[in-house]
Amino acid sequence: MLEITGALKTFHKGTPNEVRALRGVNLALDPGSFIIIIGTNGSGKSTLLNAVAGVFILNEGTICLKGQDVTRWPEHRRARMIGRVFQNPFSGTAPSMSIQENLALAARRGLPRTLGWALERRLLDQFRERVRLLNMGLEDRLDNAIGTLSGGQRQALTLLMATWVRPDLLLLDEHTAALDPKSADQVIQLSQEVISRDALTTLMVTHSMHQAVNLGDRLIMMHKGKVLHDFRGAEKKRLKVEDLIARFQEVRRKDQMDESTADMLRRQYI
Amino acid sequence: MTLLIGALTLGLILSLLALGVLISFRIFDFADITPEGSITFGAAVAAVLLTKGAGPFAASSMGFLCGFAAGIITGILHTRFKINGLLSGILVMTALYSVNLHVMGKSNVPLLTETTLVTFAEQTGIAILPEAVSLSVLGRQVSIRDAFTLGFAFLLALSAGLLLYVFFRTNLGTAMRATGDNQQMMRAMGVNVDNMIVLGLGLSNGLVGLSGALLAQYQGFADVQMGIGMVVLGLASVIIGEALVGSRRLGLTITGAVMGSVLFRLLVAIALRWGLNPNDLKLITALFVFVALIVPQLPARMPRWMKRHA
Repeated sequence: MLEITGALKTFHKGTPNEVRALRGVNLALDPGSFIIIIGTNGSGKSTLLNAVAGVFILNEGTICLKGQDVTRWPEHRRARMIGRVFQNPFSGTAPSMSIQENLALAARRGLPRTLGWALERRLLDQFRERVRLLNMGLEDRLDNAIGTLSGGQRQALTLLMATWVRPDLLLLDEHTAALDPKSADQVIQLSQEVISRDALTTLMVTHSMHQAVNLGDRLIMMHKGKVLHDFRGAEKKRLKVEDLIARFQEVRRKDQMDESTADMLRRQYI
Repeated sequence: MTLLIGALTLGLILSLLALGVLISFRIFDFADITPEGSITFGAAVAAVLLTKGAGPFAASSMGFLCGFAAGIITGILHTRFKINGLLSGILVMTALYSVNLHVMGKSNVPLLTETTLVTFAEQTGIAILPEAVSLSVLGRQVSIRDAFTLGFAFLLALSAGLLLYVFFRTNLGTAMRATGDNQQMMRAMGVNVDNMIVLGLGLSNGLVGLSGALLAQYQGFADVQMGIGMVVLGLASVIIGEALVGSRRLGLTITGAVMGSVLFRLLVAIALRWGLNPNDLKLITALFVFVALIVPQLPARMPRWMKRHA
Protein backbone atom coordinates (compact mmCIF):
# COMPACT_ATOMS: atom_id res chain seq x y z
CA MET A 1 0.00 0.00 0.00
CA LEU A 2 2.60 2.51 1.18
CA GLU A 3 6.28 1.97 0.55
CA ILE A 4 8.95 4.36 1.77
CA THR A 5 12.53 3.64 0.73
CA GLY A 6 15.64 5.46 1.86
CA ALA A 7 13.82 8.64 2.88
CA LEU A 8 16.28 11.45 3.59
CA LYS A 9 15.32 14.99 4.55
CA THR A 10 17.48 17.79 5.88
CA PHE A 11 15.95 21.15 6.75
CA HIS A 12 17.90 24.43 6.51
CA LYS A 13 20.75 22.66 4.78
CA GLY A 14 24.10 24.40 5.06
CA THR A 15 23.01 26.78 7.83
CA PRO A 16 23.72 26.63 11.59
CA ASN A 17 20.10 25.51 12.04
CA GLU A 18 20.56 22.42 9.91
CA VAL A 19 18.30 19.60 11.06
CA ARG A 20 18.69 16.11 9.68
CA ALA A 21 15.08 15.14 10.24
CA LEU A 22 14.95 11.88 8.28
CA ARG A 23 18.10 9.81 7.90
CA GLY A 24 17.16 6.92 5.71
CA VAL A 25 13.73 5.63 6.67
CA ASN A 26 12.48 2.40 5.12
CA LEU A 27 8.93 1.34 5.76
CA ALA A 28 6.39 -0.81 3.96
CA LEU A 29 2.72 -0.97 4.95
CA ASP A 30 0.35 -3.80 4.15
CA PRO A 31 -3.14 -2.80 3.09
CA GLY A 32 -5.46 -2.54 6.07
CA SER A 33 -2.72 -2.34 8.65
CA PHE A 34 -2.88 0.12 11.51
CA ILE A 35 0.57 1.34 12.47
CA ILE A 36 1.49 3.38 15.52
CA ILE A 37 4.61 5.52 15.44
CA ILE A 38 6.20 6.66 18.66
CA GLY A 39 9.52 8.32 19.32
CA THR A 40 11.37 10.93 21.30
CA ASN A 41 10.96 14.62 20.54
CA GLY A 42 12.62 15.46 17.27
CA SER A 43 12.85 11.82 16.26
CA GLY A 44 11.25 12.60 12.91
CA LYS A 45 7.88 10.93 13.37
CA SER A 46 5.79 13.95 12.37
CA THR A 47 8.29 14.74 9.62
CA LEU A 48 7.75 11.24 8.26
CA LEU A 49 3.99 11.77 8.15
CA ASN A 50 4.44 15.13 6.44
CA ALA A 51 6.79 13.54 3.91
CA VAL A 52 4.11 10.99 3.06
CA ALA A 53 1.46 13.73 2.82
CA GLY A 54 3.70 15.76 0.53
CA VAL A 55 4.13 18.85 2.70
CA PHE A 56 7.71 18.89 1.39
CA ILE A 57 9.68 16.93 -1.18
CA LEU A 58 12.31 14.46 0.05
CA ASN A 59 16.02 15.14 -0.56
CA GLU A 60 16.47 11.48 -1.38
CA GLY A 61 14.43 8.32 -1.38
CA THR A 62 11.08 7.37 -2.82
CA ILE A 63 7.49 7.11 -1.65
CA CYS A 64 5.11 4.77 -3.41
CA LEU A 65 1.41 4.79 -2.72
CA LYS A 66 -0.89 2.14 -4.18
CA GLY A 67 1.84 1.19 -6.63
CA GLN A 68 2.32 4.75 -7.88
CA ASP A 69 5.52 6.69 -7.34
CA VAL A 70 4.28 9.85 -5.62
CA THR A 71 7.70 11.10 -4.51
CA ARG A 72 7.45 14.31 -6.52
CA TRP A 73 3.67 14.81 -6.35
CA PRO A 74 2.49 18.02 -4.72
CA GLU A 75 0.44 17.81 -1.55
CA HIS A 76 -2.94 18.50 -3.13
CA ARG A 77 -2.47 15.75 -5.70
CA ARG A 78 -1.64 13.14 -3.07
CA ALA A 79 -4.69 14.26 -1.09
CA ARG A 80 -6.85 12.18 -3.45
CA MET A 81 -5.53 9.09 -1.70
CA ILE A 82 -4.74 10.45 1.76
CA GLY A 83 -6.94 11.60 4.63
CA ARG A 84 -5.31 13.59 7.40
CA VAL A 85 -6.00 14.74 10.93
CA PHE A 86 -3.55 17.23 12.41
CA GLN A 87 -2.30 17.75 15.94
CA ASN A 88 -3.68 21.28 16.10
CA PRO A 89 -7.51 21.25 16.14
CA PHE A 90 -7.40 24.58 14.28
CA SER A 91 -5.55 23.10 11.31
CA GLY A 92 -8.12 20.69 9.99
CA THR A 93 -11.17 22.90 9.53
CA ALA A 94 -12.13 26.29 8.11
CA PRO A 95 -13.15 28.19 11.25
CA SER A 96 -15.37 30.90 9.77
CA MET A 97 -17.39 28.43 7.71
CA SER A 98 -20.23 26.27 8.93
CA ILE A 99 -20.01 22.61 9.88
CA GLN A 100 -21.97 21.61 6.79
CA GLU A 101 -19.80 23.69 4.47
CA ASN A 102 -16.69 22.09 5.92
CA LEU A 103 -18.22 18.67 5.39
CA ALA A 104 -19.19 19.63 1.84
CA LEU A 105 -15.57 20.56 1.17
CA ALA A 106 -14.49 17.17 2.51
CA ALA A 107 -17.09 15.33 0.45
CA ARG A 108 -15.23 16.46 -2.68
CA ARG A 109 -11.71 15.59 -1.57
CA GLY A 110 -9.82 14.63 -4.69
CA LEU A 111 -12.75 15.55 -6.95
CA PRO A 112 -12.81 18.63 -9.19
CA ARG A 113 -14.40 21.71 -7.62
CA THR A 114 -17.26 22.41 -9.97
CA LEU A 115 -19.98 25.03 -10.21
CA GLY A 116 -22.47 22.63 -8.66
CA TRP A 117 -24.28 23.74 -5.50
CA ALA A 118 -22.05 22.92 -2.53
CA LEU A 119 -24.79 22.13 -0.02
CA GLU A 120 -26.95 19.67 -1.95
CA ARG A 121 -30.00 18.37 -0.13
CA ARG A 122 -28.84 14.78 -0.59
CA LEU A 123 -25.54 15.60 1.10
CA LEU A 124 -27.19 17.50 3.96
CA ASP A 125 -29.16 14.43 4.96
CA GLN A 126 -25.98 12.36 4.93
CA PHE A 127 -24.19 15.02 7.02
CA ARG A 128 -26.87 14.93 9.69
CA GLU A 129 -26.81 11.14 9.72
CA ARG A 130 -23.04 10.80 10.10
CA VAL A 131 -22.61 13.74 12.49
CA ARG A 132 -25.23 12.18 14.77
CA LEU A 133 -22.97 9.12 15.07
CA LEU A 134 -20.30 11.34 16.68
CA ASN A 135 -22.62 11.65 19.70
CA MET A 136 -21.72 15.26 20.27
CA GLY A 137 -25.10 16.84 19.64
CA LEU A 138 -23.75 18.67 16.61
CA GLU A 139 -26.35 17.32 14.18
CA ASP A 140 -28.73 20.18 14.99
CA ARG A 141 -26.03 22.83 14.73
CA LEU A 142 -24.81 22.08 11.21
CA ASP A 143 -25.00 25.71 10.16
CA ASN A 144 -22.92 26.93 13.11
CA ALA A 145 -19.42 28.19 12.36
CA ILE A 146 -16.72 25.63 13.19
CA GLY A 147 -14.90 28.37 15.09
CA THR A 148 -17.51 28.14 17.85
CA LEU A 149 -16.74 24.48 18.59
CA SER A 150 -14.39 22.97 21.15
CA GLY A 151 -11.11 21.33 20.20
CA GLY A 152 -12.51 17.85 20.73
CA GLN A 153 -15.55 18.55 18.56
CA ARG A 154 -13.32 19.96 15.85
CA GLN A 155 -11.02 16.94 15.90
CA ALA A 156 -14.01 14.59 15.72
CA LEU A 157 -15.28 16.54 12.70
CA THR A 158 -11.82 16.62 11.09
CA LEU A 159 -11.69 12.85 11.48
CA LEU A 160 -15.11 12.54 9.87
CA MET A 161 -13.97 14.86 7.07
CA ALA A 162 -10.71 12.98 6.49
CA THR A 163 -12.59 9.71 6.11
CA TRP A 164 -15.74 10.97 4.36
CA VAL A 165 -14.32 9.92 1.01
CA ARG A 166 -12.64 6.65 1.96
CA PRO A 167 -8.88 7.38 1.94
CA ASP A 168 -6.38 4.74 0.81
CA LEU A 169 -4.21 5.94 3.65
CA LEU A 170 -5.18 7.73 6.85
CA LEU A 171 -2.56 9.89 8.60
CA LEU A 172 -3.18 10.79 12.24
CA ASP A 173 -0.54 13.18 13.54
CA GLU A 174 -0.84 13.20 17.36
CA HIS A 175 -4.43 14.13 16.78
CA THR A 176 -5.39 13.90 20.45
CA ALA A 177 -2.31 15.57 21.96
CA ALA A 178 -3.96 18.98 22.24
CA LEU A 179 -7.20 17.69 23.79
CA ASP A 180 -8.35 17.18 27.35
CA PRO A 181 -8.32 13.51 28.46
CA LYS A 182 -12.06 12.99 28.03
CA SER A 183 -12.19 14.43 24.52
CA ALA A 184 -9.00 12.54 23.65
CA ASP A 185 -10.65 9.25 24.65
CA GLN A 186 -13.72 10.13 22.64
CA VAL A 187 -11.69 10.96 19.52
CA ILE A 188 -9.58 7.82 19.91
CA GLN A 189 -12.71 5.71 20.14
CA LEU A 190 -14.13 7.35 17.02
CA SER A 191 -10.85 6.77 15.23
CA GLN A 192 -10.86 3.11 16.15
CA GLU A 193 -14.44 2.72 14.98
CA VAL A 194 -13.88 4.26 11.56
CA ILE A 195 -10.55 2.49 11.01
CA SER A 196 -12.00 -0.94 11.70
CA ARG A 197 -15.32 -0.25 9.93
CA ASP A 198 -13.68 0.90 6.68
CA ALA A 199 -10.54 -1.26 7.10
CA LEU A 200 -8.37 1.82 6.65
CA THR A 201 -4.63 1.61 6.26
CA THR A 202 -3.50 3.97 9.00
CA LEU A 203 -0.34 5.65 10.20
CA MET A 204 -0.79 7.20 13.62
CA VAL A 205 1.80 9.23 15.49
CA THR A 206 1.31 9.47 19.23
CA HIS A 207 3.04 10.56 22.41
CA SER A 208 0.80 8.46 24.58
CA MET A 209 2.27 5.11 25.64
CA HIS A 210 -1.21 3.82 26.45
CA GLN A 211 -2.45 4.57 22.95
CA ALA A 212 0.72 3.01 21.57
CA VAL A 213 0.24 -0.32 23.30
CA ASN A 214 -3.55 -0.50 23.08
CA LEU A 215 -4.07 0.50 19.47
CA GLY A 216 -2.90 -0.78 16.13
CA ASP A 217 -1.40 -4.01 14.92
CA ARG A 218 2.15 -2.79 14.47
CA LEU A 219 4.33 -0.33 16.36
CA ILE A 220 7.31 1.58 15.11
CA MET A 221 9.73 3.38 17.36
CA MET A 222 11.71 6.16 15.77
CA HIS A 223 14.86 7.86 16.98
CA LYS A 224 17.03 10.49 15.34
CA GLY A 225 15.37 10.21 11.97
CA LYS A 226 15.52 6.42 11.76
CA VAL A 227 13.30 3.46 12.54
CA LEU A 228 14.75 1.97 15.71
CA HIS A 229 12.30 -0.83 16.52
CA ASP A 230 9.51 -2.45 14.57
CA PHE A 231 7.11 -4.59 16.61
CA ARG A 232 4.44 -6.55 14.81
CA GLY A 233 1.99 -9.40 15.22
CA ALA A 234 2.22 -11.29 18.48
CA GLU A 235 5.17 -9.23 19.63
CA LYS A 236 3.14 -6.03 19.32
CA LYS A 237 0.21 -7.63 21.17
CA ARG A 238 2.42 -8.64 24.09
CA LEU A 239 3.97 -5.17 24.36
CA LYS A 240 3.29 -3.32 27.61
CA VAL A 241 3.78 0.30 28.63
CA GLU A 242 6.70 -0.76 30.85
CA ASP A 243 8.42 -2.39 27.90
CA LEU A 244 8.18 0.83 25.90
CA ILE A 245 9.47 2.93 28.78
CA ALA A 246 12.39 0.54 29.12
CA ARG A 247 13.17 0.92 25.45
CA PHE A 248 13.08 4.68 25.71
CA GLN A 249 15.42 4.64 28.72
CA GLU A 250 17.78 2.43 26.81
CA VAL A 251 17.83 4.98 24.00
CA ARG A 252 18.42 7.81 26.42
CA ARG A 253 21.28 5.96 28.13
CA LYS A 254 22.92 5.30 24.79
CA ASP A 255 22.61 8.98 23.88
CA GLN A 256 24.13 10.12 27.14
CA MET A 257 26.94 7.66 26.78
CA ASP A 258 27.61 8.96 23.30
CA GLU A 259 27.78 12.49 24.62
CA SER A 260 29.93 11.78 27.63
CA THR A 261 32.28 9.68 25.53
CA ALA A 262 32.55 12.45 23.02
CA ASP A 263 33.19 14.90 25.82
CA MET A 264 35.94 12.76 27.25
CA LEU A 265 37.58 12.34 23.88
CA ARG A 266 37.37 16.07 23.28
CA ARG A 267 39.03 16.86 26.58
CA GLN A 268 41.82 14.40 25.93
CA TYR A 269 42.60 15.20 22.34
CA ILE A 270 41.64 18.80 21.65
CA MET B 1 -32.05 65.93 -5.78
CA THR B 2 -29.63 65.59 -8.66
CA LEU B 3 -26.84 65.39 -6.13
CA LEU B 4 -28.62 62.60 -4.27
CA ILE B 5 -29.36 60.62 -7.43
CA GLY B 6 -25.78 61.13 -8.59
CA ALA B 7 -24.37 59.91 -5.28
CA LEU B 8 -26.61 56.83 -5.32
CA THR B 9 -25.68 55.97 -8.90
CA LEU B 10 -21.97 56.43 -8.28
CA GLY B 11 -22.22 54.41 -5.09
CA LEU B 12 -23.89 51.54 -6.92
CA ILE B 13 -21.30 51.61 -9.72
CA LEU B 14 -18.45 51.66 -7.22
CA SER B 15 -20.09 48.87 -5.24
CA LEU B 16 -18.59 46.51 -7.81
CA LEU B 17 -15.20 47.87 -6.75
CA ALA B 18 -16.18 47.27 -3.13
CA LEU B 19 -17.15 43.67 -3.97
CA GLY B 20 -13.76 43.18 -5.61
CA VAL B 21 -11.97 44.54 -2.57
CA LEU B 22 -14.20 42.37 -0.37
CA ILE B 23 -12.95 39.28 -2.20
CA SER B 24 -9.24 40.09 -1.98
CA PHE B 25 -9.06 41.75 1.44
CA ARG B 26 -11.73 39.91 3.36
CA ILE B 27 -12.14 36.51 1.76
CA PHE B 28 -8.50 35.89 0.85
CA ASP B 29 -6.98 38.23 3.43
CA PHE B 30 -4.75 39.39 0.59
CA ALA B 31 -3.76 43.08 0.50
CA ASP B 32 -4.24 43.45 -3.23
CA ILE B 33 -3.49 46.89 -4.60
CA THR B 34 -3.97 45.91 -8.25
CA PRO B 35 -7.42 47.64 -8.35
CA GLU B 36 -5.66 51.02 -8.56
CA GLY B 37 -4.54 49.90 -12.01
CA SER B 38 -7.27 47.49 -13.02
CA ILE B 39 -10.12 49.97 -12.52
CA THR B 40 -8.40 52.33 -14.95
CA PHE B 41 -7.60 49.43 -17.24
CA GLY B 42 -11.27 48.47 -17.41
CA ALA B 43 -12.26 52.10 -17.97
CA ALA B 44 -9.62 52.71 -20.63
CA VAL B 45 -10.40 49.59 -22.63
CA ALA B 46 -14.15 50.20 -22.46
CA ALA B 47 -13.78 53.88 -23.42
CA VAL B 48 -11.54 53.14 -26.38
CA LEU B 49 -13.84 50.36 -27.57
CA LEU B 50 -16.84 52.71 -27.32
CA THR B 51 -15.09 55.37 -29.39
CA LYS B 52 -14.36 52.66 -31.95
CA GLY B 53 -18.08 51.96 -32.17
CA ALA B 54 -18.42 48.89 -29.97
CA GLY B 55 -21.70 48.37 -28.11
CA PRO B 56 -21.82 49.40 -24.45
CA PHE B 57 -22.43 45.84 -23.24
CA ALA B 58 -19.50 44.44 -25.20
CA ALA B 59 -17.25 47.27 -24.03
CA SER B 60 -18.25 46.75 -20.39
CA SER B 61 -17.67 42.98 -20.65
CA MET B 62 -14.20 43.67 -22.03
CA GLY B 63 -13.61 45.89 -19.00
CA PHE B 64 -14.38 42.88 -16.81
CA LEU B 65 -12.10 40.58 -18.80
CA CYS B 66 -9.19 43.06 -18.75
CA GLY B 67 -9.46 43.50 -14.99
CA PHE B 68 -9.67 39.70 -14.69
CA ALA B 69 -6.43 39.34 -16.66
CA ALA B 70 -4.69 41.92 -14.46
CA GLY B 71 -5.76 40.03 -11.32
CA ILE B 72 -4.56 36.74 -12.80
CA ILE B 73 -1.12 38.26 -13.37
CA THR B 74 -0.92 39.53 -9.79
CA GLY B 75 -1.95 36.07 -8.61
CA ILE B 76 0.68 34.34 -10.72
CA LEU B 77 3.41 36.71 -9.54
CA HIS B 78 2.44 35.91 -5.97
CA THR B 79 1.91 32.15 -6.18
CA ARG B 80 4.27 30.93 -8.90
CA PHE B 81 7.11 33.39 -8.36
CA LYS B 82 6.65 33.69 -4.59
CA ILE B 83 6.64 37.49 -4.63
CA ASN B 84 5.14 39.19 -1.60
CA GLY B 85 1.44 39.79 -2.17
CA LEU B 86 1.54 43.55 -1.72
CA LEU B 87 4.53 43.87 -4.04
CA SER B 88 2.87 41.71 -6.71
CA GLY B 89 -0.04 44.13 -6.75
CA ILE B 90 2.24 47.16 -6.87
CA LEU B 91 4.16 45.70 -9.80
CA VAL B 92 1.03 45.05 -11.82
CA MET B 93 -0.48 48.39 -10.87
CA THR B 94 2.66 50.25 -11.97
CA ALA B 95 2.92 48.32 -15.21
CA LEU B 96 -0.76 48.97 -15.94
CA TYR B 97 -0.17 52.73 -15.84
CA SER B 98 1.90 52.48 -19.04
CA VAL B 99 -0.48 49.93 -20.52
CA ASN B 100 -3.39 52.28 -19.91
CA LEU B 101 -1.62 55.16 -21.61
CA HIS B 102 -0.93 52.91 -24.58
CA VAL B 103 -4.53 51.70 -24.71
CA MET B 104 -5.91 55.24 -24.66
CA GLY B 105 -3.12 56.85 -26.67
CA LYS B 106 -3.42 59.91 -24.42
CA SER B 107 -4.15 60.54 -20.78
CA ASN B 108 -7.89 61.14 -21.19
CA VAL B 109 -10.56 59.71 -23.49
CA PRO B 110 -13.85 61.64 -23.47
CA LEU B 111 -17.14 59.84 -24.20
CA LEU B 112 -19.45 62.63 -25.32
CA THR B 113 -21.26 61.34 -28.39
CA GLU B 114 -20.80 57.59 -28.01
CA THR B 115 -23.63 55.25 -27.17
CA THR B 116 -22.93 54.23 -23.58
CA LEU B 117 -24.90 52.37 -20.95
CA VAL B 118 -26.14 55.78 -19.80
CA THR B 119 -27.60 56.65 -23.21
CA PHE B 120 -28.92 53.09 -23.35
CA ALA B 121 -30.68 53.63 -20.03
CA GLU B 122 -32.07 56.92 -21.26
CA GLN B 123 -33.40 55.34 -24.45
CA THR B 124 -34.97 52.55 -22.44
CA GLY B 125 -36.64 55.17 -20.30
CA ILE B 126 -37.98 57.04 -23.29
CA ALA B 127 -39.27 53.79 -24.75
CA ILE B 128 -41.09 52.93 -21.54
CA LEU B 129 -42.38 56.45 -20.78
CA PRO B 130 -42.65 58.18 -24.17
CA GLU B 131 -44.48 61.28 -22.92
CA ALA B 132 -42.60 62.14 -19.76
CA VAL B 133 -39.62 64.47 -19.77
CA SER B 134 -38.95 64.02 -16.11
CA LEU B 135 -40.28 62.00 -13.23
CA SER B 136 -41.65 63.36 -10.04
CA VAL B 137 -40.05 61.74 -7.02
CA LEU B 138 -41.18 63.00 -3.63
CA GLY B 139 -42.26 66.23 -5.23
CA ARG B 140 -38.90 66.81 -6.96
CA GLN B 141 -38.23 66.58 -10.64
CA VAL B 142 -35.78 63.91 -11.81
CA SER B 143 -34.81 63.65 -15.43
CA ILE B 144 -35.57 60.39 -17.23
CA ARG B 145 -31.88 60.00 -17.93
CA ASP B 146 -30.85 60.23 -14.27
CA ALA B 147 -33.71 58.08 -13.05
CA PHE B 148 -33.11 55.26 -15.48
CA THR B 149 -29.34 55.38 -15.07
CA LEU B 150 -29.87 54.94 -11.36
CA GLY B 151 -32.29 52.10 -11.96
CA PHE B 152 -29.85 50.48 -14.32
CA ALA B 153 -26.95 50.83 -11.89
CA PHE B 154 -29.15 49.29 -9.21
CA LEU B 155 -29.98 46.31 -11.41
CA LEU B 156 -26.30 45.81 -12.24
CA ALA B 157 -25.16 45.98 -8.61
CA LEU B 158 -28.00 43.67 -7.60
CA SER B 159 -27.20 41.06 -10.22
CA ALA B 160 -23.47 41.26 -9.51
CA GLY B 161 -24.12 40.74 -5.83
CA LEU B 162 -26.52 37.86 -6.48
CA LEU B 163 -24.17 36.17 -8.94
CA LEU B 164 -21.31 36.50 -6.50
CA TYR B 165 -23.45 35.05 -3.71
CA VAL B 166 -24.49 32.09 -5.85
CA PHE B 167 -20.91 31.56 -6.99
CA PHE B 168 -19.61 31.49 -3.44
CA ARG B 169 -22.15 28.82 -2.58
CA THR B 170 -20.98 26.45 -5.33
CA ASN B 171 -18.30 23.84 -4.77
CA LEU B 172 -15.70 26.04 -6.44
CA GLY B 173 -16.73 29.17 -4.54
CA THR B 174 -16.87 27.32 -1.22
CA ALA B 175 -13.37 25.97 -1.83
CA MET B 176 -12.25 29.51 -2.61
CA ARG B 177 -13.63 30.91 0.64
CA ALA B 178 -12.12 28.06 2.61
CA THR B 179 -8.75 28.73 0.97
CA GLY B 180 -8.85 32.20 2.50
CA ASP B 181 -9.74 30.62 5.82
CA ASN B 182 -7.28 27.73 6.08
CA GLN B 183 -4.84 26.90 3.29
CA GLN B 184 -3.31 23.91 5.06
CA MET B 185 -6.72 22.26 5.31
CA MET B 186 -7.52 22.93 1.67
CA ARG B 187 -4.28 21.33 0.48
CA ALA B 188 -5.15 18.29 2.56
CA MET B 189 -8.55 18.33 0.84
CA GLY B 190 -6.87 18.07 -2.54
CA VAL B 191 -7.28 21.67 -3.63
CA ASN B 192 -4.57 23.48 -5.53
CA VAL B 193 -4.44 26.51 -3.27
CA ASP B 194 -2.34 28.54 -5.73
CA ASN B 195 -4.94 28.18 -8.46
CA MET B 196 -7.66 29.28 -6.06
CA ILE B 197 -5.77 32.47 -5.18
CA VAL B 198 -5.08 33.24 -8.85
CA LEU B 199 -8.71 32.70 -9.80
CA GLY B 200 -9.95 34.68 -6.80
CA LEU B 201 -7.77 37.66 -7.62
CA GLY B 202 -8.92 37.41 -11.22
CA LEU B 203 -12.54 37.51 -10.14
CA SER B 204 -11.86 40.37 -7.74
CA ASN B 205 -10.13 42.52 -10.33
CA GLY B 206 -12.63 41.54 -12.99
CA LEU B 207 -15.35 43.17 -10.87
CA VAL B 208 -13.08 46.17 -10.39
CA GLY B 209 -12.46 46.42 -14.14
CA LEU B 210 -16.21 46.25 -14.79
CA SER B 211 -16.71 48.96 -12.19
CA GLY B 212 -14.13 51.08 -14.06
CA ALA B 213 -15.87 50.50 -17.39
CA LEU B 214 -19.20 51.61 -15.90
CA LEU B 215 -17.61 54.56 -14.14
CA ALA B 216 -16.08 55.82 -17.40
CA GLN B 217 -19.46 55.64 -19.11
CA TYR B 218 -21.21 57.34 -16.22
CA GLN B 219 -18.78 60.22 -15.79
CA GLY B 220 -18.28 60.51 -19.55
CA PHE B 221 -14.54 59.94 -19.75
CA ALA B 222 -11.69 57.60 -18.86
CA ASP B 223 -8.64 59.13 -17.28
CA VAL B 224 -5.26 57.56 -16.59
CA GLN B 225 -5.31 58.99 -13.04
CA MET B 226 -8.75 57.75 -12.08
CA GLY B 227 -7.48 54.71 -10.18
CA ILE B 228 -5.64 56.61 -7.48
CA GLY B 229 -7.02 55.90 -4.04
CA MET B 230 -9.50 53.32 -5.26
CA VAL B 231 -8.32 50.51 -2.95
CA VAL B 232 -8.79 52.64 0.14
CA LEU B 233 -12.15 53.75 -1.18
CA GLY B 234 -13.24 50.16 -1.70
CA LEU B 235 -11.95 49.21 1.72
CA ALA B 236 -13.86 52.09 3.30
CA SER B 237 -17.05 50.80 1.67
CA VAL B 238 -16.39 47.26 2.91
CA ILE B 239 -15.75 48.51 6.45
CA ILE B 240 -18.90 50.64 6.48
CA GLY B 241 -20.79 47.65 5.15
CA GLU B 242 -19.50 45.43 7.93
CA ALA B 243 -20.57 48.00 10.49
CA LEU B 244 -24.01 48.20 8.86
CA VAL B 245 -24.78 44.48 8.76
CA GLY B 246 -22.63 43.49 11.74
CA SER B 247 -22.22 39.94 10.55
CA ARG B 248 -19.76 37.77 8.68
CA ARG B 249 -22.43 35.70 6.98
CA LEU B 250 -21.80 35.54 3.26
CA GLY B 251 -25.03 37.04 1.97
CA LEU B 252 -24.94 39.85 4.50
CA THR B 253 -21.31 40.80 3.86
CA ILE B 254 -22.04 41.08 0.14
CA THR B 255 -25.14 43.17 0.78
CA GLY B 256 -23.15 45.19 3.28
CA ALA B 257 -20.40 46.01 0.80
CA VAL B 258 -22.94 47.34 -1.70
CA MET B 259 -24.76 49.32 0.97
CA GLY B 260 -21.46 50.58 2.35
CA SER B 261 -20.41 51.87 -1.03
CA VAL B 262 -23.69 53.73 -1.50
CA LEU B 263 -23.63 55.17 2.02
CA PHE B 264 -20.04 56.26 1.59
CA ARG B 265 -20.95 58.16 -1.59
CA LEU B 266 -23.85 59.81 0.19
CA LEU B 267 -21.57 60.92 3.01
CA VAL B 268 -19.10 62.29 0.48
CA ALA B 269 -21.88 64.16 -1.32
CA ILE B 270 -23.07 65.68 1.95
CA ALA B 271 -19.54 66.65 2.96
CA LEU B 272 -18.93 68.29 -0.40
CA ARG B 273 -22.24 70.11 -0.10
CA TRP B 274 -21.13 71.45 3.27
CA GLY B 275 -18.10 72.92 1.64
CA LEU B 276 -15.46 70.22 2.01
CA ASN B 277 -12.55 70.93 -0.28
CA PRO B 278 -12.59 68.09 -2.87
CA ASN B 279 -8.80 67.96 -2.64
CA ASP B 280 -9.13 66.73 0.94
CA LEU B 281 -11.36 63.85 -0.02
CA LYS B 282 -8.67 61.18 -0.25
CA LEU B 283 -7.01 62.36 2.96
CA ILE B 284 -10.30 62.09 4.77
CA THR B 285 -11.04 58.68 3.24
CA ALA B 286 -7.64 57.42 4.40
CA LEU B 287 -8.22 58.85 7.88
CA PHE B 288 -11.63 57.22 7.96
CA VAL B 289 -10.18 53.79 7.12
CA PHE B 290 -7.45 54.34 9.70
CA VAL B 291 -10.01 55.09 12.40
CA ALA B 292 -12.20 52.19 11.33
CA LEU B 293 -9.21 49.85 11.58
CA ILE B 294 -8.14 50.92 15.07
CA VAL B 295 -11.57 51.21 16.67
CA PRO B 296 -11.92 47.43 17.13
CA GLN B 297 -8.56 47.41 18.99
CA LEU B 298 -9.55 50.19 21.36
CA PRO B 299 -11.38 48.18 24.04
CA ALA B 300 -8.24 46.10 24.52
CA ARG B 301 -5.99 49.14 24.71
CA MET B 302 -8.19 51.39 26.80
CA PRO B 303 -7.64 49.86 30.25
CA ARG B 304 -3.87 50.16 29.96
CA TRP B 305 -4.11 53.71 28.75
CA MET B 306 -6.49 54.63 31.54
CA LYS B 307 -4.21 53.12 34.15
CA ARG B 308 -1.23 55.02 32.87
CA HIS B 309 -3.08 58.30 32.95
CA ALA B 310 -5.04 57.78 36.13
